[in-house]
Amino acid sequence: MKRSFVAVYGALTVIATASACGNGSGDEADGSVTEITVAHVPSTLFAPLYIAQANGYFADEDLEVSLQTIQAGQDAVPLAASGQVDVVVAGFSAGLFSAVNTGLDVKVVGSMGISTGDPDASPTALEVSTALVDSGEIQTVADLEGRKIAVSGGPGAAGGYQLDVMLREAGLTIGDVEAVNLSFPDMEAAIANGSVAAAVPPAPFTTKMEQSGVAVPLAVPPAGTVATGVIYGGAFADSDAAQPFFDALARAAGELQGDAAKTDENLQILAEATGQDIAVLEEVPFYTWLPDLAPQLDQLEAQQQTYLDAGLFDFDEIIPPETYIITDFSENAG
Amino acid sequence: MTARVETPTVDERQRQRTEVAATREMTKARRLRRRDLALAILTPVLLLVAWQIAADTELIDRQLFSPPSQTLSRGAEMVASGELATHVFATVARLLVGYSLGAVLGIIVGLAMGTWRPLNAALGPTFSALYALPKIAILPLLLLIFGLTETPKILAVMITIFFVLQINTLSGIRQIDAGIIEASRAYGATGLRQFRFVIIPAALPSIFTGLRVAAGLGVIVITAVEFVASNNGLGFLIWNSWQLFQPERMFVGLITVSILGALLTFSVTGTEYLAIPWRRADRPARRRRTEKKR
Repeated sequence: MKRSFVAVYGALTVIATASACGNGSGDEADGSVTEITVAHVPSTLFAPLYIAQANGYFADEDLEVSLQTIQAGQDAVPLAASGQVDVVVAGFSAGLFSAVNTGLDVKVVGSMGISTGDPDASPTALEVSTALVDSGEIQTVADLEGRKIAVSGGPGAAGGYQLDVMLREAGLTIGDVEAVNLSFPDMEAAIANGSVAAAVPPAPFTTKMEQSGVAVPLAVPPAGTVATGVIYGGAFADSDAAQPFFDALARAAGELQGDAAKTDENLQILAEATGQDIAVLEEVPFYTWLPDLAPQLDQLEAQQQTYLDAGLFDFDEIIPPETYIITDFSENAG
Repeated sequence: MTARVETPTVDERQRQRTEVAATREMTKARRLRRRDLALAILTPVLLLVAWQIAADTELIDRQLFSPPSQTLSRGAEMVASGELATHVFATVARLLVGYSLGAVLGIIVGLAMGTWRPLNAALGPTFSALYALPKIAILPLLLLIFGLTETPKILAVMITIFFVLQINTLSGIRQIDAGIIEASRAYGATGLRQFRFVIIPAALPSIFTGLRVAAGLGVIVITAVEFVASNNGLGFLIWNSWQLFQPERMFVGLITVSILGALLTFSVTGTEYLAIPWRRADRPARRRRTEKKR
């Protein structure tokens, strides 16, 4: 009798322990909350993510989100395809499209920060050396032909696409300039010492170099330009948590419309998430976000075309959107 | 009539036994060298074969870990188009300049610190602290000062190599047996003569150890520098290929960097063989066949 009791007790213990063990992210932790790993690049571009996290919108959907910092979105795309992370919130690059073309299982499900097109209040700008402008060597964007322009991540990064759209308005393309990979903090010094003629930084780096007199903005991305967004790993996209996660993001995006983006509460959240000073965030122009964070198919196609024209792909045709874009989540966001 | 058979003398018997033993040792040494060579070649070949099989049987994701066959094919394309050569030359040029300058300066400073105590006292602690600083961490400062030119990249390599050679040269001098120094003085070798004929030769093994270590480190540093501040070079090829999600090109870059490091180390080893002939004394000497004395 005693031996039977011990055997049953031991079996029950093993079963209970096995049930309690999850096998990683995207699984239910205690039967009611799903753990999700999100790779992100800390930036105000992805404000809905931080607002949703800080205000408990993910928790409201019974989701426990773990944010993992990465240097570039491309670093996490293979991780999403293999299930090491569930979601990537970052810039889109040529690497993403190459990965999709190769057959990696990732889906673009949403957009993030969208350019305003306002030349007086754009979060990204083509900053040109003040010295070159004052000397008359560069008066218009077209004068940048053949010049070195600093772009974080090089021509194949999201910044490369932004540069290309600004150049195209002046009849140039990214192939007509020499895009040099430089990190944002190094751009001001590079312009100052003449290593590059211009750069494509985001705020607050734009504001800083303008205030120090090193550079002046010559162009901004047209309104509606977007090269960032939300990527789901294929497995996560098929999971039950995919829609609730997106719902939480869209809910946060709804609170970032117009002047509501810069409430004290939001600025505090973004300052903590990105490590930037609140005073700086108060000054810099923000991006805009669609309330439903819908993926922008035309922008994704245009971005591919930029990289195709620059010869950055092994393939030579635009990838059909249905191959890698899912609009259902944004359409169903409630 | 029976032919007279000469009985070998004791000395001849000894010489014959010595020859047999020496021949046995040489044969054994030759066999071991052939075995070592076979192992050195077979090991990477077997690893590549295992990698290929793992990719073909989908044990590993071939989209992320391109199989050797695909990598070799892409490498051949890059060689034929001249693209690989462009990157190789860019890296090798930076590496050789930085390595040469760093090595020469490091050896000179190491020799000076090893022979002049006040200099060692003044610079030793500072150099120990600076040695630990990751040179890639000071690259932004170098870019700030010198701009986007070749100078920061070469300097990053040069500084890395300098400290390795300075430390190894100093160590080489310190480990010289005091008895050798005394003996050299007794034979009249002082000042520059002692430096040239005793100290430098005694420190050479340690210096060449430093050169070998520095060769690998130099390749690591230049590759890392080219990740962040270059539009060409093997480091750029590796980084940019991953950013564009072209893993085959990335593996071509990785393999080329490895080969470059091995070639540089091999060159240093070869130079060491020529520069330190007295280290060859412990190897089995080549023997000429001697005629049997009748």
